Amino acid sequence: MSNLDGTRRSIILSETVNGLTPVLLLFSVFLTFRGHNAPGGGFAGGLVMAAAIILRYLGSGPAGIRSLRIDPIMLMGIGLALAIATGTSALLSGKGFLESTIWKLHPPLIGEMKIVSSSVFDIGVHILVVGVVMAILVAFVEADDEVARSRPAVKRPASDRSNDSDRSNEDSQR
Amino acid sequence: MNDLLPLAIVIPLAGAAVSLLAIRSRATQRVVAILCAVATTAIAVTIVVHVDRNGTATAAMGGWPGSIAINLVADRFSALMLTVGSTMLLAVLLYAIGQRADDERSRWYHPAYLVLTAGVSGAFLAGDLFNLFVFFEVLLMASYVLLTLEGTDGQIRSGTTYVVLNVVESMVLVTGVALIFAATGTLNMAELPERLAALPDGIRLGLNLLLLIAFGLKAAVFPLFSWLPDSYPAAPSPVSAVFAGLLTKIGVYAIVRTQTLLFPETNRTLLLVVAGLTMAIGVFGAIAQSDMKRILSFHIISQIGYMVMGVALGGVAAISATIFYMLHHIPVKTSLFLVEGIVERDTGSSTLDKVSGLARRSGWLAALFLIPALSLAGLPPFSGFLGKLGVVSVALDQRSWWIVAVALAVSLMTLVSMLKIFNGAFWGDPMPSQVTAGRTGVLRHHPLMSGVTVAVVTGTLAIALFAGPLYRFCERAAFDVTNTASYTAAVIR
Repeated sequence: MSNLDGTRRSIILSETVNGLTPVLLLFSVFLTFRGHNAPGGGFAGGLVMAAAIILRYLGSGPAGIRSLRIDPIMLMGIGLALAIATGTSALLSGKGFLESTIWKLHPPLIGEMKIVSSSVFDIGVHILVVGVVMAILVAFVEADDEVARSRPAVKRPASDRSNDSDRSNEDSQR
Repeated sequence: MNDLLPLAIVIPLAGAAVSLLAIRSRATQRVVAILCAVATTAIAVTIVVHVDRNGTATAAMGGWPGSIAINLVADRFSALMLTVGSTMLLAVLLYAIGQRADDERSRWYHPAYLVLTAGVSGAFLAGDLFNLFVFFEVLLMASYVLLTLEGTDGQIRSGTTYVVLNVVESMVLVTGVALIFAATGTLNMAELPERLAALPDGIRLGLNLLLLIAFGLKAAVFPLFSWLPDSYPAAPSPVSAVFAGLLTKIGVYAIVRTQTLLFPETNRTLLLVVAGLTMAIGVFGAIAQSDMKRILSFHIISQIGYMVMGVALGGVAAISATIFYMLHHIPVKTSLFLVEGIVERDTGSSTLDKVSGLARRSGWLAALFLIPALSLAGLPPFSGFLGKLGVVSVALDQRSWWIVAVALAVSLMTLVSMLKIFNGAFWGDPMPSQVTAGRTGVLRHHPLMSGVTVAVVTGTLAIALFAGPLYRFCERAAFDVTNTASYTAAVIR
């Protein structure tokens, strides 16, 4: 019995998730950019963003994932390509593979700004991690859909039926 | 030259990225995968030629100094393994495309296969223990996907065993790596020998055992082998061919590398006993089976025993025999699974009860099976004979009579179980159902699969033919491997 199929959803959870999502997304970006000099980085940041997406799935069911309209496989491809391209561009410019290039900018008001090419690598890893977690999630959602579709056709054993009647009682009470 | 080392890992990874972006176009995926596999093989060949002429090549990825960088090291041993490995990956890729089976039709096949290629290259080239662990993980992740491509019940069931055991293995390995770092303050394989030698004996033994357990599980030695005959046969044939040929040998590679470089002064009697048991248990298992894939899977274990035996005996002669054994074993084992794949494709089964009389229908197919089968059993004039001769003669020199007896007896039993496959599947009269199909010339119906198999089998014959120069190369490689000082000097300049 799944409580993810949209029939029984906790309002408290879904509202909490709605409030939490922007915070988690910001925090994941923060982690990714922080990673150059401190604990964090693309992998940790990507996992936090993926956690936000998983929470959304738990809160609002498969529809919450589908509404994102992002192909996770494309995310994986783009992320991996970005990470590889960063490393290779260093190789092409005569440095070692993955060697970082540092630019220092002096925009007005902010002061010195350090931009490193390895943060592009981190962004690539971030996107890749989100893509992988989403791909796994989508596989589960599809499996869930399949189960939901096949449910009326399958004759269930008696023990299951009693559960079912529980549910119909609950539904009628709503 | 040194830029080539990272490219052996980067090119397949970049190919995986393109393959993911082109997930809807099977044709693009195929072209990209073939191009990347060819490029990786070309790079590997260049590296092996260069390394043999100019000595060990190194590359520090990331441009950081010393042991902070991601160190890649190619000495003769790793360059040779890289070449054999990438050639097999290329061959099996072409075979899988030729098979046009469900597994290659899965859109995940090519990305996962390219990631596997990158992981294999990385594991052979890794110059420090942590990156060895990382590349093991990379190839394991890809192998999880490949093993369960079709998502059938059987695959999921054996995939679960495989994943759980490998996660345990990874945990043991990362624990070992962490403890080694805690004890010595470095993971660079060039710095480790000196620092490990300074440790008390007990601690060194403990660290060694942790690594041996982790790599032993990967290589499927006794008593950590039970996952292998369960999971490999469930995979599609091209996948199990590359797993059987290559993946366990990466475990053996890691054992050879760590035993010779990091723990040179160890009493290896226990390892020798383990080697003997691995050989014997593997071949007993094989004799009891009646399915081609399962018999061949048990033989992987038995053959691993011979390689571990070489490591356990120690010394340049034994290590060079081990390296030659690995060089011969990878293509031989792969080609056996490739032939099995053709049989399964053609008859729809790999169970010996359901397949019969294939020799009557295609003599060439029978020959393609018999050559690597006899080579695996160690009959002259095939390559397996030279590998076994090398290992056994070292054991004779060291007067370890019992392991010689075990090795020879297991060899005989290998022959028995290979003949069991031959008698079951190839000899006798064709099954009635196949007679009505009336097809002869099995090979002609699967041109690309057969072509690749013929090429790999020819390769094993070439190993036997050019055994002299190859064996001398292996001796040079073994000298590099056992000579810690030269490794350290080449990496730390």
